[in-house]
Amino acid sequence: MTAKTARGGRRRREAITAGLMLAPAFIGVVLFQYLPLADVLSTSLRRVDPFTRAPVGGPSLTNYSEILADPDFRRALLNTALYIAITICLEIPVALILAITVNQRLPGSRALRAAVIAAMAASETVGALVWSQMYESAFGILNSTLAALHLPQQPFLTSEHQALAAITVMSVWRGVGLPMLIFLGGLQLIPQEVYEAAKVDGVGPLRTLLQITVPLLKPSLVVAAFMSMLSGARIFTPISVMTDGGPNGSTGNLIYYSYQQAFSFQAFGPAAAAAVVMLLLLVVLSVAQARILRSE
Amino acid sequence: MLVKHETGAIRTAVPAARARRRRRTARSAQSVVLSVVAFLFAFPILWMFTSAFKGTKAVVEDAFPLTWKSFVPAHPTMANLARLFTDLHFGRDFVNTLIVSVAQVALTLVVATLAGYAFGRLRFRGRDVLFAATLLGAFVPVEAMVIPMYGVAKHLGLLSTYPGIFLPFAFSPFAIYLMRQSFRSLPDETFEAAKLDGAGILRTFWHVGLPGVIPALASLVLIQFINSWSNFFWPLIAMQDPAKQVAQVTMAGYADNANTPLYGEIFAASTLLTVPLVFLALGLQRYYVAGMASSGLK
Amino acid sequence: MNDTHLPSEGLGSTRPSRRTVLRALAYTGAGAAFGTSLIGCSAGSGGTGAADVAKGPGPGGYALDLGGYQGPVPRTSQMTLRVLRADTSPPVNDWYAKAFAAFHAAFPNIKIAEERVPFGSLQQKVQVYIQSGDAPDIMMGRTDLTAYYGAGKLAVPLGPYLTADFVRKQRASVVDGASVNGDLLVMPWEDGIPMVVFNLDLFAKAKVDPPAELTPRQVTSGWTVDDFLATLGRLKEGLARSGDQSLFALEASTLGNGGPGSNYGGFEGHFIRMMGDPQAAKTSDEYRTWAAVDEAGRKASGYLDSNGAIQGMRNYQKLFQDGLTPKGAVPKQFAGGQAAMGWEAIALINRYTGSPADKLKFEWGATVVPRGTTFFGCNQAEAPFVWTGSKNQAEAVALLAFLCNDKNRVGYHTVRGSVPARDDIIPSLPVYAGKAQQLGLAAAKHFVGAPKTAGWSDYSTAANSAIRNIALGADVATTLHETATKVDGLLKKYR
Repeated sequence: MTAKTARGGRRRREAITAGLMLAPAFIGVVLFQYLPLADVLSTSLRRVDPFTRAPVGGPSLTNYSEILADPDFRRALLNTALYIAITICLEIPVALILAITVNQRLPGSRALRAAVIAAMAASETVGALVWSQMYESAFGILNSTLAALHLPQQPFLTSEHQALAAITVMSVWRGVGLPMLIFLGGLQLIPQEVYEAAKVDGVGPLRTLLQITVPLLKPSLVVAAFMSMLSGARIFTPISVMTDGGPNGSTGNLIYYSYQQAFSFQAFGPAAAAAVVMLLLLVVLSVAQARILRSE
Repeated sequence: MLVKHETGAIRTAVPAARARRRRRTARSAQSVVLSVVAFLFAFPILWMFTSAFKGTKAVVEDAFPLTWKSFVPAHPTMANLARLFTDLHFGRDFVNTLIVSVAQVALTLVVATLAGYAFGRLRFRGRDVLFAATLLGAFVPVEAMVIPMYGVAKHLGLLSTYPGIFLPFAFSPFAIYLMRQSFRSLPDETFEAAKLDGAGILRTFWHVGLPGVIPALASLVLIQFINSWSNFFWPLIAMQDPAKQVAQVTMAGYADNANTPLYGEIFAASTLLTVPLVFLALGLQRYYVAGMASSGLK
Repeated sequence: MNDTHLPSEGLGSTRPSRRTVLRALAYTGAGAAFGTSLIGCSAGSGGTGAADVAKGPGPGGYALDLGGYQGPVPRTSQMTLRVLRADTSPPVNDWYAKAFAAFHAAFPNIKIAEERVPFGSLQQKVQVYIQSGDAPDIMMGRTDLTAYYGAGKLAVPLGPYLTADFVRKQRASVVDGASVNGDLLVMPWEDGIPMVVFNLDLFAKAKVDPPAELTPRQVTSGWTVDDFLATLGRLKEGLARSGDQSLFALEASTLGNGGPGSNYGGFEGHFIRMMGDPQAAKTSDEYRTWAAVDEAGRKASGYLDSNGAIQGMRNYQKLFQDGLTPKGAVPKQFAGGQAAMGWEAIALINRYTGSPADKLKFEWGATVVPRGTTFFGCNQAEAPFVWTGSKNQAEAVALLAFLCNDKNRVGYHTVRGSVPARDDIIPSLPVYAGKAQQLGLAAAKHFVGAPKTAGWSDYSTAANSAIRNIALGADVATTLHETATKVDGLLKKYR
């Protein structure tokens, strides 16, 4: 028995084991994700009956040309990009600061960790409900506070320019716990000696953060950025609860557009086409993200 | 000598004490800031919690204009909770939610850990392509796929069953991704060492891989629990038997009660639904705290 | 009795703060799920379509009082009737449970499997079921969607199964709203009547004269929309003078879901419809204002954005621009004494008079809704229909007819509080002897009816978001023109 065949045997064993380990995941993914996805794809490529969703006629791209011509769709596409961008830009830095703070075990950090995790535990609907009350223009807590400080009242959810950001802030409040946990996990893998060495060399806290912690957290950053992107793209409940996609379509995203096309306008073809566009958008963004953040 | 030494000690002790004091004030300032931030973060949850002990009428009337009563119940009442467990069968719905969530979490852990290890630590042809393919499902939300999903569930005979509610979400691409990244971020040396010791693939997985990803598993438990716990749209569509419906869906029905939504009951139910998750999260905390021996590093 | 429940939509209900609570909890999408409907309340023509087909022994010939059912005797094979409806308050749920049990006792081979979903999610679930070809035999639908059910052949025509006498007993406007081309597609179930309530204490505080008292004969000579707006303006000034910043002249809409853009059928649509006239020439602006969509159901341009509609929406916008009503959804301002007037469903007014728990803490009165060019009173109601894919159509209709027999109707409206779809049982409901209720019932006889189109769901969803933008200050004419063009595109698929 030569070393080569032994290695080959191990290779084969590894492949077989991997196959067995992946089997349950693949059965489930095919049944519950690929089959429905295939249906969405085929619906997007045909005209369908507005009453029964039965296909009418052969394959065509009319659904795609229809949504591309729809200003609401273009707005939804832009808003989706905005939601993703704002979510990542808010969530990642805040989560990083929270994780480092909590990790240093200062007094009060336990309470902070508990509060962040409690926010995570609130259901989306309840969170949206409470925040709607807080944002209310006539008597919401935020505006009452502004009034008490003699600052101008803000139309958080009733102005085109603020509503999307207001929704994203609520969503980040709920979602920031997850990247925080991911960073906490990552921080544990950084040996303390690295920091002690930095201290001896007299490196300041900010430089330590930027030059030591962040690079060493790269794997966690990749995961957190990907998750943030997904959660930013998938905001739905807060939109339907807080603004209904308004004012003037300023808060509707692709999911909301797709849902409305299907459930309010009986336009199942365009609804499916919008879902496919969202899929493509996220594929492109994921690939780009993987390229940018590739850890060598 | 002794005296000298003492005076020396005294001489250095004064600035040291000053520095200690400075550190103490800095620390207490930091902790005040942290506590304030924590309070702000928790505020919406606290408000929900206090509203749970107000009558529906009080919730409505105290909201406007804003006074201390908006936040703290003037006449705390347990009536909401009582009504939940009598008229509204909330206990039964709560148990349904619990069954579905526990099953979903358990199944996800098994599926995602196995798949994550295969993708993250084993070498085989087509690995990365397959991995990318599993992610696709995460990119289309359930809202857009509900009609074909209903078709699948119907053909598999899963409608109106507990598995019908949790199975579609137990094969979460997101969970597989998280586990793959966690296994990948473990140091290679330990795996090499295990190989040299002649440990097989499964033994390496069990003794080297798993202990290293405990924090990730804890995160996964929490995230999946939260997702399953707050799942609304799919159970609404896939469950036709009121006796097996989950709390999130039945709670939405309180809004239709008696022509004023039952705010009090809604907040009470939300609170009851949030509390277990907070406890779960706090219970999992020790797995996130730094300094825990990370066996992956030994 | 003190836990009656109202129909969940349109004028059938008051759902405070729909935007923040209801929709939140119900996770609904845009107005698809909630009341945005218009059913005629006119003393309309009401073609019944109930041909006297003697297929069965008719009333009294069955094992149970099946009301107006005249179809074949329910079969004796084992079967399960699936029923889908929105969740209601415990007393109403009990009423259903008892009625189903009684039916099952009389026909032991017929099991009834009831499924309840949160109100806001009912329409989504109906859609998922129909598109999956797996729908329940009986589903709770909406009368404003009758034309949609007809165009899609989703609902079984009920006429042949029911006696002409039974159909004649229902209010003509309800039957008209439930029929397409003379076919009765949904079962007349309940009705709603909008009214304006006013808080006399706040009127006194603002030193404004309350609306003139009307007798049931004078319902058509009540106030106009201009009188209404002027009164609100005076109230606002007067209340501001009194120094209480938290008081509003008009409460946030409670019809449907509250807040702007919440309820096209119950509240906002009024401002457009009242400017139109169904009796005017088909080419006139008045007719087009009322009709919403052209006769073929293909075009909203020139209808949704007619001159009358623009004027109606300007009136509506005034409410928000002048600060007469809040821009958000504030729950129960009128009942809480925080608003001088409210535009509410008679069912809610029934609670003020009939339920000790809901008694108002101030002096109040009720009057009719204001008139525009015409006296429009839109209302909408839930109404069940039998799915065309059902294998047990006759039995399903028999069950519905049983639920609509005299005894069951009295029991239902007693716990539910909504307006019966037929006048003959009103004397059995003591609450309707009240002054406000008598006025409302009298007004309902004169209301102009609502238009019908298969694309109503598309139309009202699109209109709702336009209305919300208008309330928040968007230019009326531009918004309506753009929305009309958008609706034109949406209606293409019905060709």
